Amino acid sequence: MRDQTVEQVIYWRFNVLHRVVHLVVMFAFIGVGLTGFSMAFSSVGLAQTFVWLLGGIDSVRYFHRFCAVILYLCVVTEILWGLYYRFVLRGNLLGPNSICFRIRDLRFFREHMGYLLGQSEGPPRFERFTWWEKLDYWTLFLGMHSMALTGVFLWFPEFFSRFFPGYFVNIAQVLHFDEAILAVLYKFFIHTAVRHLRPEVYPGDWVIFTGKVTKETMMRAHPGEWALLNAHQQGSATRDQ
Amino acid sequence: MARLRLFLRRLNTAERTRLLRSSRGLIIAAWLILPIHVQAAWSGDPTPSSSWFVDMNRFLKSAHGSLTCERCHVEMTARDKVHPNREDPTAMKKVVVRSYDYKRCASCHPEAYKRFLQGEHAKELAKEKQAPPPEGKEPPPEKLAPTCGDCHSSHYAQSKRSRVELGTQMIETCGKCHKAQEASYLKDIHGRMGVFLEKKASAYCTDCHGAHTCESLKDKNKALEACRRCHKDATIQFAGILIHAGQQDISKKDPEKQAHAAIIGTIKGFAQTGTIILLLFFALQTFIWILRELHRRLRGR
Repeated sequence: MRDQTVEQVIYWRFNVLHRVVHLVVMFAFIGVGLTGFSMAFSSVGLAQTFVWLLGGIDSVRYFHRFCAVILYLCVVTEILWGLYYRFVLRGNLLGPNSICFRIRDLRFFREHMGYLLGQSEGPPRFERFTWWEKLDYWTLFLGMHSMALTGVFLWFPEFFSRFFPGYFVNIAQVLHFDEAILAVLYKFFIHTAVRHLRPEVYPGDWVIFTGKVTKETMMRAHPGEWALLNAHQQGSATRDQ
Repeated sequence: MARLRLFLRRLNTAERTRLLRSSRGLIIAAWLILPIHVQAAWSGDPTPSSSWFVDMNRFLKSAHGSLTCERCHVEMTARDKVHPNREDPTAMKKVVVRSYDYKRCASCHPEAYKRFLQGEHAKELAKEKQAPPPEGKEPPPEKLAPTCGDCHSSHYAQSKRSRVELGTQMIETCGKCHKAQEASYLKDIHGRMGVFLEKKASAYCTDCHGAHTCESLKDKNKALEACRRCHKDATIQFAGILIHAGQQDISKKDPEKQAHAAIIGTIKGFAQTGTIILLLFFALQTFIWILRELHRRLRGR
């Protein structure tokens, strides 16, 4: 967990699996978004140029599905990691270090809104994962499932119309498009702004690529986790004595 | 030219300016008019597809370009009158696509003509002939039943066009009368792929509705037959997928499809509202967040 360097103490926030998964998700998401929107807004000249660049509509459709499968595989990887974390590492999925939502996050959210509106001087004492990090994670995690569901409806309409009425394919198309708009605008603008444009992290928070945080960042951004970590260490220190 | 130069050389400066000034209007007018002629020469559609006047340059390049005029306009006399009848003041004002006898097309295109007679458009045409609209109160051409000439340009239609070119042209031709269907088709996956992204395997109007029969496909079994031409494993429920998904496209006699379109519309409304609300909330929250941290930083805390 801790790695002593000459200048400062480094804390490992993300292991190599999560960093690679984030990188793959990032590129696959951009790919799936570009190809998807070039098909959805195909009457726009820019979309037609992009499709031409990729070698025609058939390869765009192939690329869209390829990226989508990669994205879903990343979700599967995360599920497997969750099982590994729970049953092999004996981690607590409902504990303070978990990415899962807790009741406490509601309080954090309310306090954070209060801070934004000037009711308190500073942000609440966040634990390992803040509410917006959990939201980013779970919206993608759950969103990939609903996108995959509507996506396979559009991929294999002949198969699914055996079990469902035909207009379900139309509904799938509507939901697939709307959720794509939501996801792409959220990730491309809001997620990027929160991770790059906020004065706290400007010009960029590289922790998801490097996995490391300094002691200062830890104390500033995750005081709850910092306190917990120190309490544990002191606890173990006293026990050792 | 030499005389003009001599004439100009003899003029003194004052005379020369006066000449320039007086001809300035002409020069400006020429510059304004010139582009119109250039445009007309470039755009290649100066005459409408069916009129009394034929652009021979375009006709010779068309599919019928090798035919003589008499091949289609058989006799130049009708009912002992020379064609066109100069005595009749309305002769040149008649709408050609209504007055031409399109049975003559059948001599070269018998299959197409036979299918046309079986189809919906011919039925409408027969109805219209039985009860023609009153004189002077004729509806606009897109409300009348189509003859061959309404869809096909007999003088300028080109041969050997690619499938995508034909399909794209088809959207315009059918869309002249079926505007709502054109719009909903272009929103559908077949239209988006076929027209804008040039996917040859996509379905254009006539691939489902038939080139000359022009069926409505309200009957699900007929629709399924059309689906199965490409989607081999399609079942009867597959034919329930709405291609023209707008509610105004669907006949009021089809309550089931109307209900489906209404459900789709409701879900679309909810999804769009939810998307907009969520995005607005997070955009505003992020904006305030950035301002708050900026404020805190500027205060030095």
